[in-house]
Amino acid sequence: MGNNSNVPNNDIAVVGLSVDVPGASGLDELWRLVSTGSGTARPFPTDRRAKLAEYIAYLRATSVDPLDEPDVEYHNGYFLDTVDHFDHTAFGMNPRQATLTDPHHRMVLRAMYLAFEDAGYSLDRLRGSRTGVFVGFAVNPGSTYLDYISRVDPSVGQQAITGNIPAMLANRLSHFLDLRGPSMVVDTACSATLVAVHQAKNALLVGDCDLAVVGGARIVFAPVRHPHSNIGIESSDGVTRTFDEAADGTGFGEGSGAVVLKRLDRALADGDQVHAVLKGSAVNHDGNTEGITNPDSDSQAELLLSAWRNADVDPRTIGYFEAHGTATRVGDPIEHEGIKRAFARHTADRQFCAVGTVKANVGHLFEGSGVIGLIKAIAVLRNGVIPPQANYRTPNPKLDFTAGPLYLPTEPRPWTPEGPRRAGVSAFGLGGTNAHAVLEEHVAVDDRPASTGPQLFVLSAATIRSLTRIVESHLAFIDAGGLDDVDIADVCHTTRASRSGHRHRVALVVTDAADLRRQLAGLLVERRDPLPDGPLGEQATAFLRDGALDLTTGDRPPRIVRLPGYVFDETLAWVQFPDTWRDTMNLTTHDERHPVTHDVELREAPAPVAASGAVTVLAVVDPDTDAEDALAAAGLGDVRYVRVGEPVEPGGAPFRTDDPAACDQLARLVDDGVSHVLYATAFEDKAAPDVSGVDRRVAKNLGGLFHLTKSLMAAGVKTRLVVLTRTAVCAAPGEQVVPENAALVGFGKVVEREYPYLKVAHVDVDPAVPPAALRAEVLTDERGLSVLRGERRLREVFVEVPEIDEDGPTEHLRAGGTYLITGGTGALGLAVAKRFAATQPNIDLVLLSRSGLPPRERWDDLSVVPSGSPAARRVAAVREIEQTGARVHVVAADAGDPAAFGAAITDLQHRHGRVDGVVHAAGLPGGSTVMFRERADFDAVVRAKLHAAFVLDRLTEADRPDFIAHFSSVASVFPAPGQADYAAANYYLDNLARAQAGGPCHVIALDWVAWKEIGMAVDFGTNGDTMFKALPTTTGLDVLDAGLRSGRSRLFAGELNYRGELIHLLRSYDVALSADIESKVEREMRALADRLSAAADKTRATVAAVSVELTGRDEFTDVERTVARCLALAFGYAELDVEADFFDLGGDSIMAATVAGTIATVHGVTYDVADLLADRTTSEIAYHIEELQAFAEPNPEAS
Amino acid sequence: MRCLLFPGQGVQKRGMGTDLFARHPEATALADEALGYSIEELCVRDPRRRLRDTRFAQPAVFFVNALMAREAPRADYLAGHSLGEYNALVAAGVLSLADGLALVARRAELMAGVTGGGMSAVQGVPAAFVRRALAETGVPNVHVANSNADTQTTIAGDRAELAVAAKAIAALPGARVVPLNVSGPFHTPLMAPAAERFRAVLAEQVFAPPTTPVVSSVTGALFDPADGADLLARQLAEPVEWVRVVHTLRALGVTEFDEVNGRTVTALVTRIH
Repeated sequence: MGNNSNVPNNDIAVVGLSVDVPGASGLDELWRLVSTGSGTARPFPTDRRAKLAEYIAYLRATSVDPLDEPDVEYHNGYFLDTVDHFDHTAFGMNPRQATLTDPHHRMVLRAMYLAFEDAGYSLDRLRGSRTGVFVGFAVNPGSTYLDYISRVDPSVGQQAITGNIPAMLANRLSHFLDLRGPSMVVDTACSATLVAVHQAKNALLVGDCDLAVVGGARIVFAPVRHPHSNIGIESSDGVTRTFDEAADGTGFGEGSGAVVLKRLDRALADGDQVHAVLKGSAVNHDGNTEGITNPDSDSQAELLLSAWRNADVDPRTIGYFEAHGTATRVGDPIEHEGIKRAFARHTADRQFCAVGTVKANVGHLFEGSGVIGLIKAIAVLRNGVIPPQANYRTPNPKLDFTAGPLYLPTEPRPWTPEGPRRAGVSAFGLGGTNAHAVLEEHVAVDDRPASTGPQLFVLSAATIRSLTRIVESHLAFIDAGGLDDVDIADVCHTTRASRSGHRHRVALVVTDAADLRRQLAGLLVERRDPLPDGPLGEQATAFLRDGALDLTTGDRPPRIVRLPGYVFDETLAWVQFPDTWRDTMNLTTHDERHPVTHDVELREAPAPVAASGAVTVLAVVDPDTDAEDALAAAGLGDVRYVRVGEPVEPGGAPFRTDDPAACDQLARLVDDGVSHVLYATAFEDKAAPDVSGVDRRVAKNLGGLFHLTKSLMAAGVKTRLVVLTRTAVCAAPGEQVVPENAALVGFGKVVEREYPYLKVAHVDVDPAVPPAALRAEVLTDERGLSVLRGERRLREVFVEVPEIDEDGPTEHLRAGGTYLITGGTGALGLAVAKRFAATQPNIDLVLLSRSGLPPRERWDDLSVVPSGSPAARRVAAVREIEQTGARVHVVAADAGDPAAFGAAITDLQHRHGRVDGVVHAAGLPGGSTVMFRERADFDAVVRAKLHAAFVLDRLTEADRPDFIAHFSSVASVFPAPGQADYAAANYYLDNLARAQAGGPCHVIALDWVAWKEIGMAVDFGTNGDTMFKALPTTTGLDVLDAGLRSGRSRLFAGELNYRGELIHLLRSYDVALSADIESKVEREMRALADRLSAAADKTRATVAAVSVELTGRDEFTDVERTVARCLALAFGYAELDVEADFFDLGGDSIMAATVAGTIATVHGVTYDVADLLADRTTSEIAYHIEELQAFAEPNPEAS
Repeated sequence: MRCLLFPGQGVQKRGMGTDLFARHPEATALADEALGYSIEELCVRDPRRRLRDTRFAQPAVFFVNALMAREAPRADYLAGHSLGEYNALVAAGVLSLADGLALVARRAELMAGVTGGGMSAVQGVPAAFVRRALAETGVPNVHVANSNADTQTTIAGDRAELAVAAKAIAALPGARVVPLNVSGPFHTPLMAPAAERFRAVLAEQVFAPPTTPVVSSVTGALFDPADGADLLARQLAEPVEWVRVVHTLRALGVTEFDEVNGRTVTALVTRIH
């Protein structure tokens, strides 16, 4: 290798290439096109037009401003005949994947594969190598393939993603061939592939990779000619006339090209063929020009100078210049000017360098154009002929060639400079990124002796059809003189190095080109020469058997030579746009409005339905109340009483409800066949007089219910839990009640949602209830709240409140008033404060919260209030409120701590006198199911609402505010699991407000659904639409305003999300729905069922239409056949082995969900992704489904 | 105090223990001899995809666990999940590595012989809820097979009944049921015939006193070598009481849990309260 030591280190060899443009496939055909000055744009091919017709019609019809133009006009251009075929087998894809892959990806894969093969690399040789992949590409305006296929079937999005995001252009090849070098997509618009060449060169020089492939591809998906879609560089007739007077832009070009690069020293050492040498390159940007799309001759001149410096060549030795040549009357003169200026820095010689551009032959391939220009320049260097410029008749008068270095050849002429031939290639991006490369011809010196003796020649292909065509193309190649003057040993070496990777193989032992031709021809007529004995014959046999090849070489160093490339076995890979879209499309939508506000009313209901079955009751009572008397009178039958303060078993400790161990003991008793647990400790007849009384009572009653429920759940018992209270629930507005005991109602609503085997009913009685009525209520199977008042039985009904009467004060905020907002520095509190200040600026707003805010004088201290912190946002909100003129006071106190909260209120009364209104928005969210809830956390949630409300009432007793608005929640009516404490506390607030109706102070509870933009639900990520639509802030504040201006004591604020998939849950609660709500739910559920069933029908029809042949066995079950259809639909195979693995077929976990869903729908069973991932083959899936079906049949309820 | 934990079947994956075998050539040779195949090839390359098979998976996991245990620092207590209990016993000196491997190989064979069943993991609800749902669904051949954490339970049993049970349990709020790729209804009464045959094998086995205390995954109490044969036979047909194991260890003063061969069972520990 000593003779290579004088090779300059920065030279990069182009060791392989491929090109495919309309009318030219391969370097030779491209040269024919270029050297004859050919290149004519033509109309968009008829076949492609036909395939797009429905899509274009659909786009026009469904545009926001529909385009009513029946005719579609297309640009002329340099179009490929077909872009919808692909050889998925060669690239390890399944047909479905190939179909969902952007044609650009497929073309890049093809181009790069061919370039690697030309460079002498088989797949096996590349695997695991440090090879870089660089693709120049941009998503252009207009339709993408992903957009197109998603419109046909919106569900393909996930599956199609890897075939349609640009990064995958490079990454897919790296993944497929296990290439470990850099893998990237370069987007600099029209200079992209040449910039990518520059990137690849640098990566090779710094050692990021040992080999690099660079390329790009371009199709025009739908070259519709319409005033809307022109960007100004399209040629009027599609023909590119660079430098011509008639030039009016570039014609659209399509195609692909790729080059394989390696450091020249390495290439020579490896015996590679060197198409040309990349001496140097440069990339720059126009900087701030007049407009971002304006080219700039100064920058272009700078670019050339720096590329020449990088290449270290004398510009005077450059004899051919491949110009960017946009063929516009502005762009061409600017490019010419730049070239002139650059050369002028080095020489005054005139007209020594020919100029041309391949765009005149093949159109403009945009991002792909750079590498096509590079390949054309390589062809010029190799052939030693300056080609004529196509489509050039009359020079552009603005181009004065005579005074510059360039001349425009009109006919081919030999190119025989004194030194090596050198050429330059330019590409400019629309956004100002320019690239230039300097190339030099490579003259191979071959002082090796001729080879002797027979050689092993191999070919391989992924399909038999490809293999046959490759043999044919080799025959044609030999007949055209392609192997003249080529040593047969190099030919055979090249095939072994680069043509050996596929499963269908040919191996021949040959002596020369003529022998090779004879044997290849024999293969086509199945007259194969027997393989000779000896090592070559053995190698050939081994290769045919398992593809193994010994690539070690003898004494004569072999070289890679040019041979015909792979012939792909392409099949249709295209999603057809359906012509039925007009029938299936439904553009009309009905967006019915529903009221935002609701209420829960207690309405009279008929007596409960009696239940049958043995009754064994365990009743927990407090002897300080009359509960036991009431129950005894009711005559429940077999009742065992557990009394607070007395031992459960003789000699035991006195029973306390909030003792977890005692509750566990109760749960064990229940487990032995108790049908009803009656929890009747909360039977007090008077409200607790003070906060410590409230605290004790809540601990005994609510805390006790908490512990008992927890114990019942932990024991896994199944029973009916009846909670009995006495006048706790306010049956009619203003009724005197024991409000703290109503919290148990909210708690009970949650229990069954966490643990369905505890059926919970709540019975609230007054002393006038007949014993028989109580008995019936306890023993019925009905769940939920029954309020019994005398003979009357009331049940909860959820109703719409379409209008809120303005029967309250017209001005709910008085000038000079003081308004307290608890939870005041939370998002909701601040929003309310802001609204209040906007309504009545002359007020004092007291924002009370646990954390408060730092002292006002430190608000600008970044160490106290870091920018972007929650505190900073609160400070900013307070300042914004103060802009209105309102006076804001921030007080830190925990509303859940009665002493601290009371002190804060007293202090506030000292400072401001009367509190004119209160918004009690303080609250902690619930956090966990009863089973895993700690008592202290449970209490904290309750206290912030319940205790705080009590304290508020007590301390404002003497001088009641105009209003108190309690912020309650949807959880008190429709709670979710994990909200037992939260539901209890909010139910208390609702009940408290109702009980205070008609009093001196307007008390109102507002049950909010999740707020959409602010607050707790946003913090916890639960602010999406569920059964209810999340509440926009403005709407919520409007409801608050309306509520305060009304005389109502309760409003439930949230619009039902009738069209959501969760609406059916509304019926699962123990609250009845009003007739109008019920009928709407019914209607929407039926509509949803219809939609789902239509979708299922469609899936079944689609699957039924799939035809697939099962293999691997002689007979198959019907289920195996339908499962195979489901898999074939997903993957596209026409043939499927019954034992083929889901993953080997090309499945991934993303697809699995869809495929499992299809299988479930088609077979009418529950079958999900986990099942599929466990079963994996048609035969196992079918076996599993047959089992599911067999088990479902005798037991129809199970499905 | 510190406890070293051992996972059981289910943690096997191709490539496990890659560098381990070379560091323990004698033990590896012993295993190859006892099993009749290359344990290293099975664990590292698994060319015939046999790690999915209980017969091979159990010796493989056991042996990799055992080699890793040799390199782990000494612990105050030991415990293992199902198969992992054998590793705990070997680490405690109750069984020799050779005896442990022979027992595990036989156990694997017997367990693999019971087919037609399956296992599913239930997450998100307490075991009590799962038991109640099983009772209410009326599936006599589905049982709780592992109590792994507060809201992580494994159920196992007859394959068709398991599908019905899975559906009923999945209807519980917050519950998620994931089928496990296991061939048999392990740790349920359906394993009783295999357990009885294994009892005969265990009858020959001598159990030495532990040098480090081991907590049994069957009882959740300290492993008494006098009951060794009984405990290990019962283990096949009785649930893995992992929650109890962890409660016991905590009560014994263990605050630090370490694990060989992954984080599977220590992850469970963090979900036991």
